[in-house]
Amino acid sequence: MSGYDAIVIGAGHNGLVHAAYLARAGKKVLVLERRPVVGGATITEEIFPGFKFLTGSYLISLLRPEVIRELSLAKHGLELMPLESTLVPLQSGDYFADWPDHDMTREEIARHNRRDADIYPEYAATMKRIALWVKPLLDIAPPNPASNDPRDKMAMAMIAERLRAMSKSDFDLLCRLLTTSAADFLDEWFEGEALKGTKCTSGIIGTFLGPRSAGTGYVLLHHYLGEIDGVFRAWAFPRGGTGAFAQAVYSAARSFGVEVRTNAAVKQVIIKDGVAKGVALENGDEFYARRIISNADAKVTFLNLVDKKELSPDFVNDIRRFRTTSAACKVNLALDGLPTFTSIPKGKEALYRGSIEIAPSIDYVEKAYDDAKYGGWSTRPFMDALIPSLLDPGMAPPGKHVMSLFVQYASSELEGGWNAEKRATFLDIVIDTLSQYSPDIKSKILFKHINTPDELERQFALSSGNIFQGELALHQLFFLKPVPTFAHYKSPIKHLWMCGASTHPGGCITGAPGRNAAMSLLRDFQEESA
Amino acid sequence: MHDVIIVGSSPNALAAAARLLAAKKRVLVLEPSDHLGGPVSSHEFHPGFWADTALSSAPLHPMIEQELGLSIAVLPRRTVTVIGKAHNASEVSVGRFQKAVLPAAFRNGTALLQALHASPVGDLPNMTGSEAEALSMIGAQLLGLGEREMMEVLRLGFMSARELSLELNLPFADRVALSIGSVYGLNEGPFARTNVWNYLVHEALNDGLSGPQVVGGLGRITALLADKVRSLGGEIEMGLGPLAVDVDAGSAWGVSAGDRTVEAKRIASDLDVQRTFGQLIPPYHLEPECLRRVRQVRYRGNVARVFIALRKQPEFAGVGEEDLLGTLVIANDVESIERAWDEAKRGNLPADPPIFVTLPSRGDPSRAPTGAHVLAVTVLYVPSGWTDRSRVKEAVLRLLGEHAPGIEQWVDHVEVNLPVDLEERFSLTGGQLYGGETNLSQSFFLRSMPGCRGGCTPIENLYLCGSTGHPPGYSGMSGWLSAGNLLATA
Repeated sequence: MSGYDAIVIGAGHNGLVHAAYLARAGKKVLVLERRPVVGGATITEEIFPGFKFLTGSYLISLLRPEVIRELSLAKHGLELMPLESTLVPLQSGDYFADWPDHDMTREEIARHNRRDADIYPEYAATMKRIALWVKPLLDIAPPNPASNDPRDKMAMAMIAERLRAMSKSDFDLLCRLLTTSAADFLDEWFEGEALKGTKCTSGIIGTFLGPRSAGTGYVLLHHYLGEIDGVFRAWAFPRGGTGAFAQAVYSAARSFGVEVRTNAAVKQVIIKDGVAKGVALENGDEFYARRIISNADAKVTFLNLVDKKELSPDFVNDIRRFRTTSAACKVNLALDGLPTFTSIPKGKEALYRGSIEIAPSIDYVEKAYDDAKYGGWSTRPFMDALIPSLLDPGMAPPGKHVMSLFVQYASSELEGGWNAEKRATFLDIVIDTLSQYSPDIKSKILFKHINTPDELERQFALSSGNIFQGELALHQLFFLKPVPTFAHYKSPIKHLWMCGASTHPGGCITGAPGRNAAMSLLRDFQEESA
Repeated sequence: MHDVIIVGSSPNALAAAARLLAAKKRVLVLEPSDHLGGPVSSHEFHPGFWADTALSSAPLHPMIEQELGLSIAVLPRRTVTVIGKAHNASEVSVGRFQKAVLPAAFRNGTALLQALHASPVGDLPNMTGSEAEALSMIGAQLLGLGEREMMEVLRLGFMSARELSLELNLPFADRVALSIGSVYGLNEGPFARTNVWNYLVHEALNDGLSGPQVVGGLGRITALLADKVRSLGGEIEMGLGPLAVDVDAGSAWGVSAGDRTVEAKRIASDLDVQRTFGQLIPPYHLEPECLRRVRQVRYRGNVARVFIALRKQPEFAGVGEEDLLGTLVIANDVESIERAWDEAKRGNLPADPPIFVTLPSRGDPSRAPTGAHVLAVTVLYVPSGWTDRSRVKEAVLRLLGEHAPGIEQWVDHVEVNLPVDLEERFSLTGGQLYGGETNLSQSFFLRSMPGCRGGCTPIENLYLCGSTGHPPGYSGMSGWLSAGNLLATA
């Protein structure tokens, strides 16, 4: 069985995007997926009959617009519904709300703090400028600053040129944001606890640090890069859940001729004389291709799928130290009707359709981290809740609802590890916390489900359950991602490449690693035939 | 009329004065308080017992020492001994910080920072020719390490002491010393990222845990520098009380003390940004945007200094005679350091604050009466506004008593200097010892504050020359570089 140009290991969204781009350019591509379904952690699962759960990712924000356009995803069934609001219920019984509509948000900020409302337009404009500056960097393979390759030199020169074009104050702000804590950064702008509470959560998503820890400023910036159809920092829900997004990419990939096999777990990459030639499956089948591209994370790829004899000890050490600690878990509830959030006033019921964030202040979120950082979990966690069935009635039977909750901190470093009992206990904590703001929720729960980091690891082959296939941290960013000197989607094994979220620009549903890797690989093919 | 008036008298101010005098400028140094040196000074805290008040070490930059022909006697770099309980251990262990076994990236990173510290800060990203040249030399030094080592150095400064300790699988003493060195002077715990940068900063300044002791006390550096300034023809006045910089139409032209006004072509302030633009100059001289930047600089000092007069040399269990010439860190594992920070960030005094201890009288008998000793204790994570001296004293004596049993019976006197005391004594905002936290986010071209580089300020003819600028610390280099910039623009 030969004749493939490329074999992609893993049908997560980046693997599918990558395969689609290669096939679109005329390459013969085979995608091998361990699970019976495609999508990886980009999946919608009917765990409880009639109710569609978002067991992995749950929203789309950083998806590159090029990917939607170039793969004609709309034609393949992708329908994105922008989230219209963020609600933050406060412990006082009041609430804070954030809308994509600038003036409405400003009015709401003014209700809590007049001074914050005055400065908010400048903050919003500044963050937009910074995000606009950073964005083009998402779409390139990171250049190696030590390299003499003309392509690296050109990319470095491009970055230097862009830096020079930046205003001094924006440059300073970008540098400080990258290196400071989300809390210190927000304290420079705002006073209101609720506003800072909700804003700081962008700095901790998927990260085992509290908002007062340096390093969270960069994570905050990462989540500001979101853009849906040209609207910045907008979050969207795909009709049918994130799994429907994966299905759209799958459909696009197949339309370009990509062959996808499910229930096809790769056991090992076949390497001969230091060159990757193919893959061997768990079932004994072997497939060969000119290039092997792994969409699995860097640790799974090089510690599980590649024979260590083929790698230098330095490289193995670099992969081992690649940080994948995880702090997040995913909860889904099947509900016998819409729960009531007591802080939502009459006339503002539209807020149910948005994201509901349990993050009333920076101190609350920091306390949640403090509870967890020594091997415990948050006794009052940070949560980002969504009721997808209000946006897409097809997610639950008529009159019923599903609720998706992204929860921190419940980490992969839990003392003694996770087990069924601990999962159940933490799930109770989540529901107890929720019921402080929605007292009737307990009476509406028909079924509850939790994916803790160990489960995310087991189900989606994510090392330590890290939702970004590796922590978002400066020391493993850009030309250091996933490891120094191998940030260009290649690996030390000739013809073995990477296209997953372990590579630049990292996690979230972006399609960017898959697309960037495809661009580099297509050039590699071209150079080979030239 | 004077060419330059310098307000303040730390080694940075005096080094600036010396460099300007050498370039034939007429220089006047004005010190508001009745002592020279700012935090680089010593005081007699009990009859016959002397302490280096704010810092355990603050050596002058070797280049400046050489340029000025000074000879400052220092003892060898201090060894670092860690006393405490490792995670899950029931017994206290004593171990030596084995700096030599740390990866080469530590040494390379320190060398690079030393080069950066001796280089004027370019106005990134738009630098002048000479700034770009200076920076490209450092770039070449970095590239010269080779691809692999260069990347190792680059990632180091971004990491947290905790994750680096895990990555390197450091033994107890090493990970505790690295953590303490990384958070010293920061309002952060060892779990927060980029704090290894702070460790490297203090390694580069040679004033961290292993920073050497100055024979005769830190005040000796100040005294020698002041002599040098005077011998070059500079004037120094002190005890002037509150000073004000006179500004007209956005330009500084003199300094006033009470009814007296002295004119000068240039003014250089050794004070931190907050004090320069809050006390020396009324804030209304600044544009609102600039004022906002002044307020953004973070000064959450959380270091207290406690001095103990002892009638005899203390004995710490498991600690050898030799170790007493060095620094003793008393702290449990990385987690307990983070827990102490958890308390401090909520405004509480940690039950077991991490401390480090030196015994200056062991290497320099002039610090205490014959047979007696001075124990200098640096206490971390004392909240910025903390005012209860007795609780800090109790905590320190209890910690010392646990590891040096019976020490309390030899105590003659204890002096506690809280962050608020250090603020009052040395005019340091928030009691922050370096005129602004030394995080990565307040370093290099982001120091003293964004938009104020190379000592320049938005006020014409007004410069900054203290630790608040680049580089931080009291090596004199900040003043030296600022004087160079002042001369270049004169």
